[in-house]
Amino acid sequence: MALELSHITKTFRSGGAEVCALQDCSFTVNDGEFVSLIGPSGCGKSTMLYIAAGLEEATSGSVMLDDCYLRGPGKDRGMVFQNYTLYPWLTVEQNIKFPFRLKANTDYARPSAAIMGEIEYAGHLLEIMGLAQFRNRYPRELSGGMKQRVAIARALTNKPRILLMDEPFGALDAQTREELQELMLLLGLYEKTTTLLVTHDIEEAIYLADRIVVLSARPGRILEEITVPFPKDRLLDIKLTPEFLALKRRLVDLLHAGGRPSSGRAEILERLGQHFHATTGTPVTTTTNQQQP
Amino acid sequence: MTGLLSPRRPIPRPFYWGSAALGFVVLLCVWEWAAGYYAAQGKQVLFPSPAAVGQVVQNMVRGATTGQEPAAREFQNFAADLRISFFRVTAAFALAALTAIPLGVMIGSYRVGEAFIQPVTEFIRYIPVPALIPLLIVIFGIEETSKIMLIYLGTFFQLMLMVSDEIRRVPYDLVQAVYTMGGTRREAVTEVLLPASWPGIVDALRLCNGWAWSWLIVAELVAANEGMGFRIVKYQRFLQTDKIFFYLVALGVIGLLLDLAFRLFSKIAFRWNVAARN
Ligand SMILES: Nc1ncnc2c1ncn2[C@@H]1O[C@H](COP(=O)(O)OP(=O)(O)O)[C@@H](O)[C@H]1O
Ligand SMILES: [Mg+2]
Repeated sequence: MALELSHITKTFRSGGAEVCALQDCSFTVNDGEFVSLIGPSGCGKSTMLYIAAGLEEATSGSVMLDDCYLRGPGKDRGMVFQNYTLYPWLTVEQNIKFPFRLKANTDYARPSAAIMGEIEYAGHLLEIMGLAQFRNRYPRELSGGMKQRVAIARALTNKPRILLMDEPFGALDAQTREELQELMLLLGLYEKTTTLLVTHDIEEAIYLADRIVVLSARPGRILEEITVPFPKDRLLDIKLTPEFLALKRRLVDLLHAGGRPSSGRAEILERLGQHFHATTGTPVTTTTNQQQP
Repeated sequence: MTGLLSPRRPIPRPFYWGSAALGFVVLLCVWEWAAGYYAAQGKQVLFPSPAAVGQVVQNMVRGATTGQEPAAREFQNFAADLRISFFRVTAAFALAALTAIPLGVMIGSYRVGEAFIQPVTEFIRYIPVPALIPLLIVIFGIEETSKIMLIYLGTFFQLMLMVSDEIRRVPYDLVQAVYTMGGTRREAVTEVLLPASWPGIVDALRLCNGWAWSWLIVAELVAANEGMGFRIVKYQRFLQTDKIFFYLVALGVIGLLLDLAFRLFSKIAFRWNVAARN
């Protein structure tokens, strides 16, 4: 078992009021497994990931990595953030080599073989992420998709036990997002990375994951764990198969248990109808929720 | 939206430089007009015309090249004033930078440092620095030390607070990222907060250098026997306003050149940082 979160509870205290973000959540990520964590916005997904990364402390509960209790962040857990957290004063290559730079700060007498190995590994990461021809660019000269590739490569530089990702593709356009999804999938296939991905994109969660952990609205509790019944090697086309769509439907219903948030529809229709009626006098017929399957 | 009057949009280069030149032309016209106004009342000595100041410049150049008296003497005075004033500003400014940058980084990085230093300095900062002049003279005498201290006190506090603001402006994400890569808390400061803030710090230095020149003149107006400020007071006594104007123009040119030097340095040293202008 690579990562094991047990009975995680997190309460934020802000201005006297207490906000319970996570309540008694337990789940694991196995070696070589890809787990997606989904849930409605504000339910505590990021908080959970930051607790796993050691950047945030749980109010109660424990985090274990390879059966060792963890406290605080460490390079055994690589992280890709929602915002691009590349260092703008470093080139693509320097960003990817940044963890080696940190190592050099404390370990002065590394054998030159180790240093050669590092240079080689950085080159390997540049190649597999398709960044080789951008190695000397600065982050401001890159598109959003390219920036996130660099961030992924940088998180892999330390060869972490697990890769933690917080909505890494949320800000990208649909096409770039699918490109990166495919890259992540194939990367997992070749490098056997263990990954925990937080996302609010249900399709992304299914396409990439071996298993999906579903959180409820705040306070976040684990609603269900779903094993994705597809082989590890998947084509993007799988998103259009009936099995995929059925699973998507199931997740949508889970996330919106207690009614989809289209309860605003009636209100909008009323406002539109009134205005429209006043100006043209022609009534409009629309479908209601009940009429749709 | 394009066009000369679209807010924040770039305009063609010739228009930009043309407008810049026009600004100087307008300044000259206002000056010429004011000088003419005084001259009409027979008081041209109170407000010299651009031509009269041009005459002073010509005189200086003649003094520098031919060694003819009294032009040569005037030029030597000017050169000596420039040298000593430059020394005073630079010494005080270097001292301010060397002390304010580390302290500012400390305040911006560590809340303990902020609590320890900032409230105290906010208090000291509101004591008007000119009010300290008599005290400085009593303590440090009328030699160089008191002048350098005045310039130092005038710039140090501002610079320290500006540096701490630059550190605080760095997104916290960047710090969290260094921890997940195995970085220590110290490395969060040295490898992330500081490099991210350098362009802002250099910009703060640029502004503070301008203020240092203002404090220099304050110091030299009060007590000095050489320097740009001292010479201006001296010419005032002899009603040589044309020479005062020459010194004012010289101060303006020095400020402009130093400003340009800082900007140029920033542009070359921080190629990665493009201020979002468009
Ligand atoms: N530092 C904080 N202080 C107070 N409340 C917070 C803090 N961080 C997050 N929260 C609250 O905790 C809840 C979960 O936040 P988050 O984990 O960011 O949600 P998600 O990533 O699922 O959208 C939100 O309601 C948010 O307002
Ligand atoms: Mg989030």
